[in-house]
Amino acid sequence: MAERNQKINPEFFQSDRNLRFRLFKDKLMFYVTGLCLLLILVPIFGILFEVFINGIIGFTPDVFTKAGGSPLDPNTGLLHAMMGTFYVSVIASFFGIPLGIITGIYLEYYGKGFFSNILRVGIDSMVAIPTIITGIVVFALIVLSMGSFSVLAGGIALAFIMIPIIAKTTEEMIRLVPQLYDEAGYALGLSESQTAFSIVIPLASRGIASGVLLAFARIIGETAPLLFTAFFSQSVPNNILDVSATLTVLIYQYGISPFEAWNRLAWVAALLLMLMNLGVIFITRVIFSENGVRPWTRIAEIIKIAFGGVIGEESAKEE
Amino acid sequence: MVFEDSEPDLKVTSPFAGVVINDYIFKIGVSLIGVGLPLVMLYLYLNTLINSSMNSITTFGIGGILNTDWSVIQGKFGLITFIYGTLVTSAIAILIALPLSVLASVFIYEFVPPEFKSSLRSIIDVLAGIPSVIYGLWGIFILIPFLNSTLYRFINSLSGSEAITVGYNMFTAGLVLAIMIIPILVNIIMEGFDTVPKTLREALTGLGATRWEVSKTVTIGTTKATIFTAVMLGLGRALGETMAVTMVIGNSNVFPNPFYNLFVPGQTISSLIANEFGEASGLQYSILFEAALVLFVVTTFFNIIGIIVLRKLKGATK
Repeated sequence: MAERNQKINPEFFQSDRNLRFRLFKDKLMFYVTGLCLLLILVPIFGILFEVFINGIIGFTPDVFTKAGGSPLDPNTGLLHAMMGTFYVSVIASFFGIPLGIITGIYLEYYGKGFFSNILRVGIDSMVAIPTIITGIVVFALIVLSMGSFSVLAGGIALAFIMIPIIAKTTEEMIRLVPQLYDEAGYALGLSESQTAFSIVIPLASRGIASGVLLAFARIIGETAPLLFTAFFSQSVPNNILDVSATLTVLIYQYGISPFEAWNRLAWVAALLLMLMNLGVIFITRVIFSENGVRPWTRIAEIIKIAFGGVIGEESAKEE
Repeated sequence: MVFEDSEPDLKVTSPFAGVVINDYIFKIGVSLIGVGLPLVMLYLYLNTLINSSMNSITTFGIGGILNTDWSVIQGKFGLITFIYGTLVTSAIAILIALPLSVLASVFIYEFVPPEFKSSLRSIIDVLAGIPSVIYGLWGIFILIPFLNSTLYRFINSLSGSEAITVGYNMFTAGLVLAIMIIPILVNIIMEGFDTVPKTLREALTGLGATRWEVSKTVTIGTTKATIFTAVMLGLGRALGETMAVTMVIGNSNVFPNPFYNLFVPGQTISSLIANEFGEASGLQYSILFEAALVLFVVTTFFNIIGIIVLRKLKGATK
């Protein structure tokens, strides 16, 4: 700003009121846009700060060792919710990661033509489905037929969210590997599957791994699909057919409860959840940064798909 | 392309490297899952939604749900209150988030020094991943007390009456949604700004335009379609959001009176489902699925518009 104004000789333009007004407007908009940036950063950093402070305040070692219980009992913890989150995310990953990656490979290798584009639109709309809908659909499919809420149903609901995200990001990341490498493989006499497994997929592996990690970060933060699948309880789940609390559902239940002890635990759970969630995202960003040694990973785009349900980023294959 | 500055490290080791599979088996196997799985999932979604809502669709028809009476005991299941709540909270969210995101993006793009620019963008990207339930928790314990003692008290003293009685209302819900979708909006808008040709900016600067004039005409002017897309996708996100809304909207099944009073408790489709699904049975269970079906259609509509425009743009800039 400052240098620009110095370049203009004020005497020369002194009569030009219009110019002065324009320069004033320029300066004004500098402050207005700056204020807007401040306005969007303040609440976001406010959330980080409040979660951190309140989480630390409520923290006790009991959090990691004790399960839930009465709100009047001071010796309760979050062990049950942590175990629940662990179970549902492992089950979701067990189904979601391999199936998502294979679907992504299909889309990139054979997904050409009219039918595949229809399929793509279907996957795109599944990425953007409100997650509460996934929750009640899985309730009708699994909880009703099995007769009880279970960690398994929660895991499957999360897998429903994970699969389209991983399929989308895998397709995108394989596409970023230049065609050159496919051709190099064929020139060596390798078959299509050999080229895929020995050359292209390993080259895209960082991108695929970032997609998987960010999809994982997304599902551990999901609440709505677990409300009516894994449900809620105060004891540690014994097996995958048990009903269980998860960190997210616990934050919701304890957060809206009138008991101060539970509100305190909700903040601690929020801190734990945020550390895991942002930790995974941050690590992914640092390790798989697009400026790093290996190209063909676009974290910003994956973040958009995983957390914004934003799709349609059809980048062209590099020739 | 990335080649220029960084040579790819080709010594990759992977559990897959060197795996030899018959091409035919590879193709069949991958295609079976790749085609079958999405189709099965889509079928399960649509089939469950339609089947489970059949009961209420046949009982009420269209007219039975297009009213504002909701009473489980009397068997009245009008959905208008919730559709209205959903649209209003999302509209508030977009109206707050859009100008802020566009102007803040202009500031980042135009005035933030390059060495901070990419880290600032990374931070905003990462913050897009904060779970929505945490926004809800923050809304309950920080935002609502804050609004009660500032904005809402101010409006009350201005109008000279206790117009706003509870902090748990539709405006608060819209505000929380706005804060939630801003990082995604900034992400999409900044990406649009990246595609603005440098020559256009230089040309206008050469004509003597100020930085703001360049931003207004070139940077924002040439990315209008991207901004439109961001709005559509942000709407898609806001319409379907459950937790952040449920925790702060007040969960009232009564239609706001008068309808433009946004400072009263309300309910959206997803918060209705979150609140009532647990104890629902019979017709109520079915009507909740019908509500979900409505929500599904609305969000898919906005998302598909967003996707189509984004695809067109990507095609055009290549």
